[in-house]
Amino acid sequence: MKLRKIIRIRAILLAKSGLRIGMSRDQMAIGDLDNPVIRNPLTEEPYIPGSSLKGKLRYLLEWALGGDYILKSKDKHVYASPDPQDPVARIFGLAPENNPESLRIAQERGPTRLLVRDAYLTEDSKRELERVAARGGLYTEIKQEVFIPRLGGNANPRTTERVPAGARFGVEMTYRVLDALDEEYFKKYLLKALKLLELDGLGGHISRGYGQVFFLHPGKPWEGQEDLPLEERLEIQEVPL
Amino acid sequence: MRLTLFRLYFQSPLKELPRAPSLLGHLLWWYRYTHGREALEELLAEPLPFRLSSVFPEGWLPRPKLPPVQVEETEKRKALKNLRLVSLETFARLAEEGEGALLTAPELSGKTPPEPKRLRRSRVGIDRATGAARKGILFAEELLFPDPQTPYALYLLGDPPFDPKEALAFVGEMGYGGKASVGLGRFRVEGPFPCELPEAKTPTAHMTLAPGPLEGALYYELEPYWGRLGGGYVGATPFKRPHLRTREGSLYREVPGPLALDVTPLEPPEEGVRVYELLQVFPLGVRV
Repeated sequence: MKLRKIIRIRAILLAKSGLRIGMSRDQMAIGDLDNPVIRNPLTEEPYIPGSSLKGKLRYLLEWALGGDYILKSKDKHVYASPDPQDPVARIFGLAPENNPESLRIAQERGPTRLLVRDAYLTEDSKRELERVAARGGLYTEIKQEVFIPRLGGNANPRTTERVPAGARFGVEMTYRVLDALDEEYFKKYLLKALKLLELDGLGGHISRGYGQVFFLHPGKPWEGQEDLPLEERLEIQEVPL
Repeated sequence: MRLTLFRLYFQSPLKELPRAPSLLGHLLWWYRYTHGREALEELLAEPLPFRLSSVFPEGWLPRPKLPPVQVEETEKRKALKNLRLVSLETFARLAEEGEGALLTAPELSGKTPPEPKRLRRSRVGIDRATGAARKGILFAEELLFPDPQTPYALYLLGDPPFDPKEALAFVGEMGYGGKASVGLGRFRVEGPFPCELPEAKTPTAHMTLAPGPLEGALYYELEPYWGRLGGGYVGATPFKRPHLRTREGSLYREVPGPLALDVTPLEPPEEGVRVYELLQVFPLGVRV
């Protein structure tokens, strides 16, 4: 097993609706938000952790493939396929059990092919959001929602922090190609998962309209990309070794 | 001593700043994946002709474990106790004059190294049936966030039989340490730069910039270590067999050769496989 090449995918992720990737907090001051978004502690800017993006891609692909991925994932975090050619385990990785057979399969399968980076706000998007900051927020909007009790009574308000629609993040992923099957899986499964992400969503509350995302090619004018297929809206490069 | 310096600029959070044995493991896995298994076995048949240091903020070195000085004043004693890194200027004085030089060092009155910020980040497992966060699968991990503009120094002694910048750039691109597949541990590399570090003119001992073996250590700080197996065994439960090693800053009278500690777990990851931890002292001369 030898590394043949690396494929790098770059894109701008456009939040078409408010995007909320939350974080938990250890302490809360009086008047604090109870649902903050995750932020870089150095810059206080919201970002998309690679784990959120990768986890959602994996989840969508597993649902698209169905079967054991859903039915047998109950006892474990994810379904551990015994097949070294299993596309999900190959692309997204799988921690082997501590037994010789599982380790043998892991070795035959090889390392995780897909690496997903944390996605940070683009410079121009940051400047736009700084104008929001001047109006009291901190690169985000505080959205007020109300829960309505079905049998009358008082409305129960809740506040949620989210990155406003229109924000853009620089996305970068790396895909390792160790054999011909990896090349096939890149087109067949990874691009499919990215398409599903645009149709589904990212982050929390997507069933209520949050988290609609759209990929834009970073090197092309953004106007007119709405009608292009996904493959043409991603910058896909082969990195020489 | 003539060294080679590489500057690392961290582009993402990571679990721990790179330390010599783990970084060496990463470089050897790079060699394995790009040159093949036979080439790696050939490389490891002879003692490696180079030594790597752990990574520190540029301009700072670990405080040498010199014989301590007695300090009456409580505040000063506590400040002295908490000092982990010293500037190159302070190190030059310490190497010649001993720990007494620390009492007048700017580090005791607030000069601090650029430490990465810490943040506890939580992650949840998604329930495949409902799509919501799954009860009982909440991970909390404390991550380091180094400033992406701050250079961190990696020192190299000797000549590796491969291009070290190419290897480091690959590791930086793929990510160092755990959770690299979700974006942790990325760095950008600059270098190589020729470099000299301060040392005592007539040293009587050597301070190490990398974790070292307990054998032959003079003044030292120990750490128990039982790291996970890397590369093809990522995620597997077997850990290396626990062992003791000295931390960076420990002192040695002589510079020992590389020590390959057998740390194979009681249940080896594969039949017939032995696992070794390579400990090499990266020496800087000091007077004790």
